[in-house]
Amino acid sequence: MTIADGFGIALVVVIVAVVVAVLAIVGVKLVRARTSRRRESAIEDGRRAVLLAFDDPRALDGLDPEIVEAIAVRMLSQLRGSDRDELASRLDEAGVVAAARDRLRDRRPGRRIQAADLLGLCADDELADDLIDELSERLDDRDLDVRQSAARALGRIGDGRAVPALVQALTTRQISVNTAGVALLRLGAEDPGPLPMHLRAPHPRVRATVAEVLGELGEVHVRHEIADLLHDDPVVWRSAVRALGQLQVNDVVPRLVLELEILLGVDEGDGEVAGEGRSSAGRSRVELDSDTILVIEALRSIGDPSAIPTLESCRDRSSRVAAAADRAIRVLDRRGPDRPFTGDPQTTATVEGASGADVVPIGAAKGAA
Amino acid sequence: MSDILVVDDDPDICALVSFKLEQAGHNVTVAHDGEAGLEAVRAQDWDLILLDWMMPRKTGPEVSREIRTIEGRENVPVIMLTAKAQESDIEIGFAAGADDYVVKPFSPRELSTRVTAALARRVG
Repeated sequence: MTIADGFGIALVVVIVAVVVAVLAIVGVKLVRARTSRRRESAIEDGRRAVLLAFDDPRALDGLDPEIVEAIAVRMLSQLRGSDRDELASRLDEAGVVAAARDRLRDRRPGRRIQAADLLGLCADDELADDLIDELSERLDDRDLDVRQSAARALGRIGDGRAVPALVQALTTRQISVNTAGVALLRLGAEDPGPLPMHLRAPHPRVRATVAEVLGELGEVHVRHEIADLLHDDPVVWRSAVRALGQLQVNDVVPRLVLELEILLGVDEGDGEVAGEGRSSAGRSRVELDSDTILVIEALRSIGDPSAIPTLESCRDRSSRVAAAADRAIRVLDRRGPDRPFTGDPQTTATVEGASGADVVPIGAAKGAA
Repeated sequence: MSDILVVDDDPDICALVSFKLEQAGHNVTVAHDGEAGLEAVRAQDWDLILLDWMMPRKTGPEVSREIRTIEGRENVPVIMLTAKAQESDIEIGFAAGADDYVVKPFSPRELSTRVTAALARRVG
């Protein structure tokens, strides 16, 4: 064989290889496009079937349960009111909910996540009894996203029996603070009863999260328990300050003013302080300023003018602290010096609008009555 | 029977809203982004427009503002249907020319009632 023959054969081999590669790429693209079209068509059919199920759950018969579940999750999460309840009920009648309960133990995490989402959106009082245990088990799932999804679902169901499992998952870091907070917030909005006892939980993450949730829920009757957390560690201390600001009750103002005075003392290097939360040990100027501003913001939110003298002493601090104090004093000044301060949340608690001008009783806040 | 334009990039919402409004006896047409919605508004006179906020190409408030500048479309009722629920968002929505504002998650029954009321005001 000559060199020319060898070159010719190599050329043919290369051309054949290129042609085969091009055909393979085209083939793969065609298959993908076809699969994608089929999936889109199946989603379109599923969407139509889910809507028809409003009138007749048999419309879902024979459809891919995974697709139905995905569409149902997306639709239910956009709905509220009687239509939402009706769709959830039809999905239950069509066996979609039962299938989701089975899929909570599917080997694929994506399916477990979707199943938990659907169950959280579909559960009624009757189903809740079984689902709380099944979803609580998923808080121990090996996949973080499944655990988060299960926590969200438990929050949506809103049954106080799920609180211990969520608190446990928060303690062992199985779920994030944010997810636990949102779940507990939803749950507490339905029934805040089981939450306050966890202000004394052994783990600081739990105490901090529960304090913030109770603040957000406006549970003014636990304000003194939350104020007691001002002696806690820095993370819990910050949550307690934020919660007290949210609760907007005057009789905790002296506690917050004391915190502010201590922080100002720490800033001047006055030495030891009573609580761990605002201890100066190992803390930078930036951190001290941030904590000082946190207290100032809480006092501004409560809006009691008795805090003004202490706020005025913040004006010679860093520019950030001084600016925050100025803002707070401007708001508190508008409230006038004769504002009643009886310590009774039902008569003195206030909610303040953004302008600080519109003052209305907080009687509507949960726990005030 | 009224002609209603739904402008929303979420196919599930479009399907859901269309289904419920068609059940109530309306003709529903869907556009999947702000620009397509505006083209539909220019091309036809609608009895009512349902408008999402966060969409590709043009946002709901942008579309609503432009609708108010199109000759003959200045008074078409516009209802914003959006997940943006802050006070300031609602102010922006109304300032952009919306006649009503519905926050997602929403109740289709309530939406249908608001649509009926807006259509009745238009006729009145």
